[in-house]
Amino acid sequence: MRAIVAIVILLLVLLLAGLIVYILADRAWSVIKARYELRRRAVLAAAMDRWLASEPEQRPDEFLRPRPPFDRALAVQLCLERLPASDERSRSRMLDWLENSGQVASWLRDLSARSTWIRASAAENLGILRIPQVLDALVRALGDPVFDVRMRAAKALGALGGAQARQALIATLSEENRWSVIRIADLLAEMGPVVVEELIDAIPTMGRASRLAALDVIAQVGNNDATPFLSAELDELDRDVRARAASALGQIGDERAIPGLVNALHDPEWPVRAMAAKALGRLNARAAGSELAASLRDREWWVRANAAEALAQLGPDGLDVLTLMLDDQDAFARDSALAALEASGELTRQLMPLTSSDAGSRQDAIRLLKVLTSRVSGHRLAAIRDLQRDEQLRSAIDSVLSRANAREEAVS
Amino acid sequence: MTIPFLDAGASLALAAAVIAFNKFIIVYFTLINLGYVAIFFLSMRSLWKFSRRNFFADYEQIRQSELAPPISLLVPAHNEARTIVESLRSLLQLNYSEYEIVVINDGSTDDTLATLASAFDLRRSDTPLYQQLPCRPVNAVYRSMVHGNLVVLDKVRGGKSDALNAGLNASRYPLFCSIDADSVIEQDALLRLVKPFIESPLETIAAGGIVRVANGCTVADGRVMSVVLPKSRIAVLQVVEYLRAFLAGRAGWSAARSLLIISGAFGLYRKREIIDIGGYSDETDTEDAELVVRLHKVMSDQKRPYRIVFVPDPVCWTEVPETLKVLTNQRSRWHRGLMQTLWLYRGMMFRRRYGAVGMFGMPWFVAFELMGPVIEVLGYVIVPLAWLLGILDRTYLVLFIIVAFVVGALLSVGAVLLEEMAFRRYPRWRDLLRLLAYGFLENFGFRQYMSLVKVKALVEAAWKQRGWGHMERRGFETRPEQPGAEA
Repeated sequence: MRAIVAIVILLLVLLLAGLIVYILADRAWSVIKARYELRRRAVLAAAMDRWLASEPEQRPDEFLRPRPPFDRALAVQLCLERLPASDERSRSRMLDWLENSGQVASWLRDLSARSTWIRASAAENLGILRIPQVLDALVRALGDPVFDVRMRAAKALGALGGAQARQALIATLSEENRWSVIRIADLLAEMGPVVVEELIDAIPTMGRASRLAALDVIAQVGNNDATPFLSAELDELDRDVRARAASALGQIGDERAIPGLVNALHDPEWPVRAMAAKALGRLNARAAGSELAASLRDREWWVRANAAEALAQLGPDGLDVLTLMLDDQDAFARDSALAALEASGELTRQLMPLTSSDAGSRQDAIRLLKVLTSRVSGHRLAAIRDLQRDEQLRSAIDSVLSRANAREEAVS
Repeated sequence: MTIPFLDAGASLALAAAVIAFNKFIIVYFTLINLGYVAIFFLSMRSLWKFSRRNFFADYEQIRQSELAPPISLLVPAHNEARTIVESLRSLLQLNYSEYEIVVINDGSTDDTLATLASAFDLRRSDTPLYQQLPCRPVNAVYRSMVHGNLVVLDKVRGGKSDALNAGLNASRYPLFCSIDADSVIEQDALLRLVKPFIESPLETIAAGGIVRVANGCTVADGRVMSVVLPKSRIAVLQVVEYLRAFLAGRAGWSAARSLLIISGAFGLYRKREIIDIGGYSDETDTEDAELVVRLHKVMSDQKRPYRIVFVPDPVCWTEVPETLKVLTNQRSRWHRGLMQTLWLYRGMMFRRRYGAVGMFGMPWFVAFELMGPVIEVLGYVIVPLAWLLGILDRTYLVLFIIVAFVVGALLSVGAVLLEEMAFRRYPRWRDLLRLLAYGFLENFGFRQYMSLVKVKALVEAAWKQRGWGHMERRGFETRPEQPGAEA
């Protein structure tokens, strides 16, 4: 028993001491290494500048025979950093060096390494090269069991482009991780409208997350041809699919979508209602004015805000509806209408005639102010007044209000 | 083996009992430490994975993405006139595409509201509140004329949970983040904290970031400019403690799918679920822990797949107490809150339905986090006493001391290792050496004192009220929230 306890104690104390020494040594090593690398990097960068500027090509010693231990890795890193922004000549020199020194082959081997991180960084680096020789290897890497590797391969393929890359990326939209799906979607969107048809064909076999992402891509690069498909998506069971479809319809801007979107304003799920309202604004759907006005009474802020914004986008008709809604029974509706009128500058425009000397043109503005006094609290009214930049308008508002107050006092 | 003043029979019986208890203590200590070591390794694995993966994360893309969900920041404030403006300036600079800030002035008796009104040009707004959660009356809603995304509620004092509920009623967006008025959130923190919500939008319902100690750091314009260890010893001890609790504790608990605490100082939640379960409750002294445990319960009851996660790199810097007295009060409150929470949800223990939380998290918290200090304090008294009286073999005494002190030191130093491995936020050599020294030294005195404080909190709470749960509301303290599971 004693012996065991002694051994346990010894081990624990050794472990503790070892841990402390390790932490300190690790810190020291990284500090020293960072300093050394910084120095060598400067030397290598200078050599690289000479090399890339030389005519005919003269490869400096630093690149012909990299000095151990870190020079080679540093030189490769420098190449990777400079490749994306370099001209054709420098690019071909660097690629030539990377291929001939066996670096490209080593990365291709690394794609099947045991460690996830070696595979991931190999895929990333191959992507920076943008050379067609590695396309097949990258498509294979899209089937990697670890998503970090798949993501890097996808990014590399996105940079390469082409039909094969496109097909492979669409297949990868079935990723589980929603964020990586979004990133693949971005890559697809960058490839342009060619992907839309292929996406619409693939959607029936897709899972939920990929479907959402596909809808986002269509929203970004699609055109009117996608409208029938998207309108049908408004009847899907999944609320996010419906919301995305509504949003996409707004972005594409085809008027045929309006009836479906008006229906979607009554959707039981608020994200769908909010997106439909926004889309109707983008489509400039004047006919939907009264429906949008009803949406101002929604209990979700987002739906109200989008509906009010949409109405403000509809031009004079929509602005009239908003003004009418200032007198609505519902406090939520009044508040959102007022906010939208203020934000669009319409409120100021409608109050401006107060400063005119013509009694006839003042009439409407006075009526509006009356509605405001009866429906809006004193504090809010004061804020509205204070926010008017025009000094004349402020004093005109004051005088109308004080006259109204005086009359009230006289009556009572 | 004779004990004075006792006859031979009683003496023998007592001796047998003491020996049994001693053995129990040693077994208990070994178990608890093995458990902590296991959690440490879980943490280490998840942190390692995290830092490798993070290397490639594109936060800039999240910032620009339209798909990043908008966030409502809820900032309850009670008598914060001195610091609130600076805190808000820091929040207004956060790096995130769409968010609003809802400050809830919870019946302050100082001039918090007036300070805010003049600093941000507040105006009364008529915006009606969507009363989804009950809360004390809201006197007025103010909107800033300078910052369109700043809202201030002025309400009757109702405590922190009530303030948060009022904030939820006024908030617009589908995600909300609770933030203490006296903490500083790092610029990219929201981007980092929102990531799990984007990655798996259906399952993720809550995420907590890491809380770090701001004492000693230079803060300018609401940003932490340089990270330096504080001068105060008590504060440095807490730095080690927080590292251990978050990096060596919560990271592991999160990996084991039984994260029971998200700090109220910095947590992000999905609003729908929180409103469905009735919002914050003031039944316990620590509304943040209670909320998370209730979330676990309701989600499991409804058999919904869900995730509550810890994200190790969104940082919230917070001032910690530098006097023993304030620290003692804070820890008493946390421990009382832990006890109340565990008692409220005792029904979840050992029930399959509650998954890892019921089978592993809750029992662990009761057996080790809650009762640990009691056994520990008893051990410090009884084991040496038994040895003095000649009942206990010296081998046991040595074993006890080793398990109690050396393993503790190993875990603290291990937490420093995790920090070095994943973040290395303390760049000065001096600070690293001090962290290591304090990690070692905290096991001789500080930890024992904290255990004593917790035992006292337990005893007092049990003494004061027979049926716990009817806790007299102590109002909300502005102290930072708990680092929780002390590892």
